[in-house]
Amino acid sequence: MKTYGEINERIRRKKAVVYTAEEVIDLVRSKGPEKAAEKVDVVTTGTFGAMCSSGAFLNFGHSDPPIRMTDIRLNGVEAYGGLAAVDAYIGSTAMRENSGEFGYGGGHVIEELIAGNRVRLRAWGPGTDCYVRKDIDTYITLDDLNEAYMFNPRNVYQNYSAATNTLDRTLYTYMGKLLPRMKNITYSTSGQLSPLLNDPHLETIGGGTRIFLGGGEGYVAWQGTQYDTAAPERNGVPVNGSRTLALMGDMKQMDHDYVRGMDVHRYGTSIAIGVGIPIPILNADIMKRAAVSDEDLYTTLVDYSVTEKGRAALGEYSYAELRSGTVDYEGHKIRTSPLSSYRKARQVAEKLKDWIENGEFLLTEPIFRLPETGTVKPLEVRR
Amino acid sequence: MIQKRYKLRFSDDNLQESVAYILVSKFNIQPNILRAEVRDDGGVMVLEMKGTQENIDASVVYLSDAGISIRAFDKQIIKNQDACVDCGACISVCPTRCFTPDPETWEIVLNYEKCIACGTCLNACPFHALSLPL
Ligand code: SF4
Ligand code: SF4
Ligand code: SF4
Repeated sequence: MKTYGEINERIRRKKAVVYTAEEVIDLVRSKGPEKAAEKVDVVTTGTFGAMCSSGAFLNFGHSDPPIRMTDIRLNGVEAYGGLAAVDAYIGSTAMRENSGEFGYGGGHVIEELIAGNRVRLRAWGPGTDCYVRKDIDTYITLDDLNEAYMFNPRNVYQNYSAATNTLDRTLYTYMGKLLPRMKNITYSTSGQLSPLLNDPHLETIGGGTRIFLGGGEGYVAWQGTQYDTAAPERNGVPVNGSRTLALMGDMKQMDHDYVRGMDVHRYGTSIAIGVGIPIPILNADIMKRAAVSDEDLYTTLVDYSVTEKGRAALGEYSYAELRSGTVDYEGHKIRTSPLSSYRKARQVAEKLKDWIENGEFLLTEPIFRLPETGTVKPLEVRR
Repeated sequence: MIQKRYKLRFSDDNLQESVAYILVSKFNIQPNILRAEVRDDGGVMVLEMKGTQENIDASVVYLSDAGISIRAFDKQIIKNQDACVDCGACISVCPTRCFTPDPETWEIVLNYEKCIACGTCLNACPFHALSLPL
């Protein structure tokens, strides 16, 4: 048994023993969870994939004369201006109109700001006695902004169903390009490295947990939207979409290596973000769960040609099978594509490990626990 | 029956339609013009020919004798390394399995040699990393 205080003391003295969630698998296999828990202080996780429910609050500062912006475009992408005069929220899936062959959206604007690029700001307002200006057209950079922080209502989905398509035509979905007649399967996870798969019941991750977000420091702000604890489990881990987190972090610390705009063909734009969460190894139980491997993690395969309600599970596959490149379905071999980058997930977990080993990143005990139960309600269409 | 792709460069803009006609009538080839860029002084096109090896070979000779520059159009895929994040979305859509993850690093390695320039992967990449320039 260790405490947060003891672990942080070791981090401060640069003595903490840190493993990534991938490296720790073999250690726990050979030593067992008790021995490993004595040795290891922190396990770092990582993921890098699409996180649509993401965006950023920006404060532009006041021009002279000032404007109360109600209609705002950043590189042609709409940002929400229903806040104070020069505050805005830009969401990852907001898309530039007529962006042509290559979709350009809020995720790209966020990426460009983080990369240090100039972004064109155009805004309009009603013109009032205290904000006389009615329009503005200028360029901004991240440095110019007073504040710029991401606030992502739903990130790091704890597991997600794999997708295939039984129709005769190709489907372009948010789970990627699905070839006709089950020619391929897509899945999106970093599996054994994934934050919420390594602490499946959120024993150590809670409100206020300090994390790696997009290359900088961030925090768990709240439970994510569509937070769900009712999913069936296998080996103590949900087999489809379940818990989620709302995350926030300072964009000025972020690195464009870990934040990329996405254009998902015929779905729309999104953003890929690198997220890493440290797991303090307080006891052998936590150790055991953090050592889960792709062989023990399963997901449900669903047919994206039917609407969500009617989607029957076509099967359950382990991430080890999916990651092998082909899976067997009723005697047929089906090729698979991951949609989230395992190389980058690893890079995130390694970077977070570096920070902790160098005494630059201390762990936080959650200020509040996230709900133990949660269900997702559908939207009824009423007349 | 086999299927092959060629890139044709021609200087006479009328030739574009007659190429297809000649291939059908003279060589029993099923032509399919996949892309074409035509200017006043000629242009470029990507042509897919379906037929026997013999007939395809004969048409290639015929076309080049007619003064059209003709080259096999394959191995054309280009990947922008800076844009690629190694997600792997491209892996399962490529018919000739050009993309394979390195089992150690999980970099998605592209085998240019196997590319038949079909274009299937282009819109599967959410990061605009893949292109097939003419
Ligand atoms: S499409 Fe993927 S990234 Fe977007 S909200 Fe759904 S699960 Fe999240
Ligand atoms: S889909 Fe695009 S970004 Fe992803 S691995 Fe392939 S080329 Fe790279
Ligand atoms: S163009 Fe076709 S053959 Fe070439 S890499 Fe893309 S999918 Fe594969």
